[in-house]
Amino acid sequence: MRHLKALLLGSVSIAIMAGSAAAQDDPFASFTPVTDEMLQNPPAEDWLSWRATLNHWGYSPLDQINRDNVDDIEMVWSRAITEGFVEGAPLVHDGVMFVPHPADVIQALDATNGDLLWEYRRELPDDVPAIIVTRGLAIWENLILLQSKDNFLVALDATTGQLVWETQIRSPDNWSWSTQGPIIANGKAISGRSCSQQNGPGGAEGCFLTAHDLATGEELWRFYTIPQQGQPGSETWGDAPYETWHHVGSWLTPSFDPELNLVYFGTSVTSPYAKFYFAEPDELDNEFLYQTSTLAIDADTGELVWYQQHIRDQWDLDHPFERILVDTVIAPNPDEVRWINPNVTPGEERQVLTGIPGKTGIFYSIDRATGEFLWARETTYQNVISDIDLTTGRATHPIETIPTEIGQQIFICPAANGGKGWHQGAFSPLTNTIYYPLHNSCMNTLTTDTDIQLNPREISPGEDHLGNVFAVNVETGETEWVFETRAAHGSLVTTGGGLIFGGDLNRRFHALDQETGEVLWEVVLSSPVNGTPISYAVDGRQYVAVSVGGALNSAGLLGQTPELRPGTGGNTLYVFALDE
Amino acid sequence: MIRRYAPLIAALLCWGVAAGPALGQMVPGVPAIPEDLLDFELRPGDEIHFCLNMSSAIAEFDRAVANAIADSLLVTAEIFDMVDVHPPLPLDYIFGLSPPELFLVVTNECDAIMGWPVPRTGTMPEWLTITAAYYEAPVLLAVRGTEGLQPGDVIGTRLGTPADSQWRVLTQSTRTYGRLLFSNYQRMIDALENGDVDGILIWEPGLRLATGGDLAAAGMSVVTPPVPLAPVRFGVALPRNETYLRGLIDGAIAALVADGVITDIARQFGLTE
Repeated sequence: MRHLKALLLGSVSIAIMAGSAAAQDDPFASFTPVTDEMLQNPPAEDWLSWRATLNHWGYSPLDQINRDNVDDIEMVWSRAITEGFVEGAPLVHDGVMFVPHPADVIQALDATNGDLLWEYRRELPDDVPAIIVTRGLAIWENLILLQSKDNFLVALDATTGQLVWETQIRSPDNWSWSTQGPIIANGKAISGRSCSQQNGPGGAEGCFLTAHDLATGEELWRFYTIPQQGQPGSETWGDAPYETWHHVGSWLTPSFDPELNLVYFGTSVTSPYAKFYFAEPDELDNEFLYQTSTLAIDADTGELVWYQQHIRDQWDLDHPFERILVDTVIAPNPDEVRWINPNVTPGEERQVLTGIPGKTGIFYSIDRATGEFLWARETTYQNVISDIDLTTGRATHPIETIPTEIGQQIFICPAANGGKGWHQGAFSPLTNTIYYPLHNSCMNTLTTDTDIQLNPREISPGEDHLGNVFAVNVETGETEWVFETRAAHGSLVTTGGGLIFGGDLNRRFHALDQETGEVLWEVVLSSPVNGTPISYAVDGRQYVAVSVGGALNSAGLLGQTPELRPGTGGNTLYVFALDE
Repeated sequence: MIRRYAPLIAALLCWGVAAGPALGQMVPGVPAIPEDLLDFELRPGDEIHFCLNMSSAIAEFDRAVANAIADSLLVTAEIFDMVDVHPPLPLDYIFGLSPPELFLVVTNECDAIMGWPVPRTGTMPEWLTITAAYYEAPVLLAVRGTEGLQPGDVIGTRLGTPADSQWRVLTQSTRTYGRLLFSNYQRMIDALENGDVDGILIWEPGLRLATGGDLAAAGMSVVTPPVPLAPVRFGVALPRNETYLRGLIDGAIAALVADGVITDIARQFGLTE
């Protein structure tokens, strides 16, 4: 009995012997190792990275399901997701789906019917924080990579679920943890993590990026997202004691440009958010690097090549979101683009890092080789940036939005759930447009003894809907269209069929026309659509998959549309396709 | 206890919504749900499920108070120990879990959370309400030796505390004293012993636990601060809709404070004289 108990409690992988049919038709028989070349140019039928490709497009070139027939798709299988928050994106390779469940449970499923092939269930200490969300995985060769809640980089055999190696990442004395998978950059797993809040154990030492050798699990380099004392950037913390340097982490998967060999991270904010709690009065507008920035890191050495700080935060407006990499002509339209670098020549081609990197909802275009600011525009209403320097990209913050003492009430837009939140947007090369799920949301802040309080939140003045899908052309910066939803809207995937799939927190999952934003198909699911949708193909049949359930910020978002009661239980993965 | 009956009541309410009108037609005048099942009163022998912040230096004191509250209501305290994966900060009372984590724990494990600092300014998370304080810990100005403060002295304060807010305002308005921020009470005490700071602002239980209650032996003393320092007050946090249970606990706390029971418990755990 003791042996059985140990087996049940341990990190276990269970390979399923599913009977003679499975034995005759081994789903791993045609499984091929995933090379770096495949990751950088994936087969159309696979979904090999968190956002499909290393450039974070969130785009599948599959076009079997398209504008003309999407109304005919139907659910072909579904499967329960384990208890916890549902924010993950599966991977698919050679007909096998690898699903990240909450609490570090990974399942390999037959992608045509959801049958279980193996399951890995990591033994987590009883005292792992209750936030049990796993947003993504990575795949390389025959390894599935997981950043576990107990702060290991874990490599599993993709065909069996057996542990191949694991490497502890953090020191037990430092508070840091990951919800996301790494990016794979030429045989290295590169990742960031969250780190200590003002009241957490440890401090700046817990805030770092890492690279690991995928062949061995060995750590190759470490870059601190809060400079250590004496390092470049540490001077921006002024006279604030090192003891109080906290929380500037990177909590979503970076993107990677193999040609430039640069990895692009986004960073979060300090804690406390408002700086007057720990900084001198004349230092409140310091940079406090590298908060709310884009960091371009050399993938081989971990050296910082350039950075662009988007705001100097006081309000928990993180900037860790997906960095979308596009090669495009740029010709920003001054009628819609408020800030344009005078050095931009309309019509010139650029390699840009573009889109909305943070919660302000500001859409940027940055030269991703040099970090040069090119242009920026607003999307949803915001009042924390009054101007952006046209050549440096440095933001100006209205003085009335910067807290200076206890008891101040300041109305801030967007709210801390973001004009854009962690739900991901997607780019389509068919339209040269990025589509984002955004929120019209503001907050009535109050400075308390401990930090700025970010509630209550409300829909932005003059708006009657919280969510929308916002389409911005990456060449011109023009708004192509806006699709409005009363509830907050979740992550998106674009496809070669001219479609966008995504859903809202009121359970509506739909297909939109990339050209017009028109709803071409919609289904009502069982819970808020918080999972990241993907598309893949097996044996010539295209599928669209999405998971539903609660998320870390569901309560905060749903609280702004109180008449909507979608429920939060019943975590489920749904898969749709055309009838055969 | 409310928690014990909650699933049954929820199921019956759902059933009642669906089946109520039909049953009403079948048996006029007879409610679809027996009224006694809608009676939420706490009865002797029921349970209150308390969550305990095990990262707090006064966790065992809170456990004793939870039991005392339950005893006074003639019910049983079922206590869930909230342990954080990260090592607790020494001598502190902050929660290791973040508000979203606490929300999950409260939803899944307990009716009420012990050891919640009553905010001096601002409000609670939207989903919480808080009882009256059951314990008030003074914040003290401790110095090396027995000398009082001198102009220019630097005082260590704990980031994110009311005392730090007060000291920041004082130092910025008068420029008489300095302020050095810490995120860890133990490091603050070490800094005082090392001479890195001239005094520290610390809640009384933290100081007593650090010194074993013998300040003189530790080479420290407490002096009168230049401004009255707001105490740290602890209450019981509950989900906002638990108004009935909050009323009961408020009443129990008032009685326990008035009778000196809480003070006795604090003394038993060495938190006060």
